Amino acid sequence: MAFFFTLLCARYVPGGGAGAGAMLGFLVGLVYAGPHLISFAVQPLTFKILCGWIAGAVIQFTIAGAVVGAIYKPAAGHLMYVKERSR
Amino acid sequence: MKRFILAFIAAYIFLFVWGWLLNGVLLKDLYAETPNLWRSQSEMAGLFHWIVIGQALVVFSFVMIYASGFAGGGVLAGIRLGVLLELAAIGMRLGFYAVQPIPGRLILYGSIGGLIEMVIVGAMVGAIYKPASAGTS
Repeated sequence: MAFFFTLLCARYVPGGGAGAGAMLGFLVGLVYAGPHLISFAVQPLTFKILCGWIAGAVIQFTIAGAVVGAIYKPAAGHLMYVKERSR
Repeated sequence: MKRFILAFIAAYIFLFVWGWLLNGVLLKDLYAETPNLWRSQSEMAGLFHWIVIGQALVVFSFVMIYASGFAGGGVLAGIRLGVLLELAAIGMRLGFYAVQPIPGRLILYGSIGGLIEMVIVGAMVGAIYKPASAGTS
């Protein structure tokens, strides 16, 4: 999970820093909150567990995104490629 | 904004139909082997709106991520995003397998189904959503 999340961050925020990483992590946390809502509808879980899972996923991925965004710095060649492509 | 809404609606319709096909038809017998793990049909019917909201949240967040970081890459960028999200989700599913008495086959088939689902959702979003600058140039 951590490996593929880091890959996602590397493709999403080349040189974007902690803020952009945290934003991506927040959105990824919401993507995984969806299946938790579905699990609540089909499995005998309590509402408290559901709230805990959702809050946990959002906090976990937001912090992980901030950490990856703060640490990961792409190679200069990759940055140039991204800038060229976005023109 | 119009493209965003179009991508959301198209992907949501697919996700809803695929969810029903995978869980309600293809894996139905597998779910029936472990009835104690699931709510009764009447309970599920009463909580159906949570499924609708959950699927909408998945699609909305997916399109938001694509629009803010992958837009302009087209179908391939959408597929790449879908694959990365699903591979990370498989890791999460393995974590649940360690703590819940869910059959391994259900994890396997659910992961394969999830991968197919996210590839198609990514392709649809990538094909439909175009950033504002690309639309005007």
